[in-house]
Amino acid sequence: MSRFGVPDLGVGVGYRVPHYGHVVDHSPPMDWFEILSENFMVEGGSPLHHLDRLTEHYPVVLHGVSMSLGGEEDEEHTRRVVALADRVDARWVSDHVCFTGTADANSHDLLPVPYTPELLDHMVERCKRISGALDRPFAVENPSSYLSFHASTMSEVEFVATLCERADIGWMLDVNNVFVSACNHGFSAEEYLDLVPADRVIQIHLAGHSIRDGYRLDTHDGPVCDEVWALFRRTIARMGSVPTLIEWDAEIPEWDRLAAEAARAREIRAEAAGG
Amino acid sequence: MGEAMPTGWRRRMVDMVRGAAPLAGSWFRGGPECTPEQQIGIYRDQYRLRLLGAVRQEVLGLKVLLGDEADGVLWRFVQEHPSRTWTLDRIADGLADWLGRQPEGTAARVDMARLDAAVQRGFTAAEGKVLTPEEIVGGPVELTLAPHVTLLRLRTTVHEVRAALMSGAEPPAVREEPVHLVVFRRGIRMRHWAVSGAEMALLEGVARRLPLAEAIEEPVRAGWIDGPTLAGEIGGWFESFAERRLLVAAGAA
Repeated sequence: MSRFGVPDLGVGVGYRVPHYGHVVDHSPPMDWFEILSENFMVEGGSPLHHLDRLTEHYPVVLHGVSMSLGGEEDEEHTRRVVALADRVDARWVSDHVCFTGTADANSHDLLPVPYTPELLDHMVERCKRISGALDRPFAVENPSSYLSFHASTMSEVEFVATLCERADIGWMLDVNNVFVSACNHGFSAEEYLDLVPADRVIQIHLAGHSIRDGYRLDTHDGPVCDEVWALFRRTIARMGSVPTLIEWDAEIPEWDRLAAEAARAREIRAEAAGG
Repeated sequence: MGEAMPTGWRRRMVDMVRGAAPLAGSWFRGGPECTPEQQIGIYRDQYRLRLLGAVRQEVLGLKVLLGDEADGVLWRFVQEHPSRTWTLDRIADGLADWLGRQPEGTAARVDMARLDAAVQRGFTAAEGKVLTPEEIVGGPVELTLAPHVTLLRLRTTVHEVRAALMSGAEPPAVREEPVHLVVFRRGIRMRHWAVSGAEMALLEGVARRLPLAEAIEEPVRAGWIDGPTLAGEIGGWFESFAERRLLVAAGAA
């Protein structure tokens, strides 16, 4: 299946420092890699050295955390993202439905926005400009969140779906984030996923999270939990084979353990898409 | 439900997250198990962990010299210098100058903060158009230092301590003595090289974009070396600079 003309890349993993050497030296089997844009928006040195080696052997997708789509645009930042996407011939580019700060202070976090018509208008225009600057598809990711606003007049799934439709962009569907937010806010993850427009979804994220005192935290520091695997299976059964990525960003395991997690996703994806 | 957000809500929310304003929950709904104040408090806790972790990662030498004081000192710096950019890579920019004004700012700690910053800056800097010795003396190329190079005049031997820490060896005691240090990148790894005061004066002249002939005179003018001795040394110096890829063409850097 092709959405926005993107190929079904299969199942990939994030390109993280502990695995640079292994991946560069051995080119282990992996369908594709996602890179965190900000780690490579630099002038030279180790990051770009290892990135250039990566792109010799694997398809690469850009995923960012600092576009601050709910905040103000930093045009220099946008130019750097576009340049990096061109450098690696990124298959697509994504960032989050959130804001990260103001001109006075950056939180370096994915802060939630109130789901209002005003914010929707703002983010549609931001996404249109970024999408127009890129020579490749652009997608937004639903964030994990720990709070919601009285001001919101629509649900998250309604907000993101409308954003994707009006800006004509893709949805980077993070199934783990849906589950984490569902637990934190008390909504049904299944009902949320059933409302996601399948024709907009160009990638799926899977990750582990932590259970804290009274909430779940999106820590990416462990394996995907059973509940999220079940939601993934259900999502693929409805949407077909969407390119899928395992995020593991803290307590990063040996390559073989990470590759095994990707293999499990590949197996479930094949079963669910065929069923 | 449906209450309008006040003007400036983003700034007020970020202030709450970074601890510059009290947690106020009136905008937030609360969840099944968390109050509104607890919810925004999750972001504040994560902010402290994330930024403290980032700055600790940038000051690998300094945090050892600070010991048990590290988190307290570094957090004070973060609170007084909120990040204004999208990247966390340079979160410790300005730390050395700030530390020099703090009661904890000993000479060794300030030196180490400067060395940490030079390593951090050089690690992801551009390479520049590296020049051969023949190109350097052949002119008329305008020289400058490669973007990954930083020149440090230190008051202590913290470079020996940092080198030991990075290699896992037992760090030596810090000695108070002048050190002229060139911090640079070789391939993808950061290095440092202690040079003579005369070599440092020449490199500083290059960094100021002096014409080569004037830069070469800088060590003599500054009293580090006499003319005849310089004449005997200068060829070897430039070979060393070229071997370490310190000099680049200014326009192409």
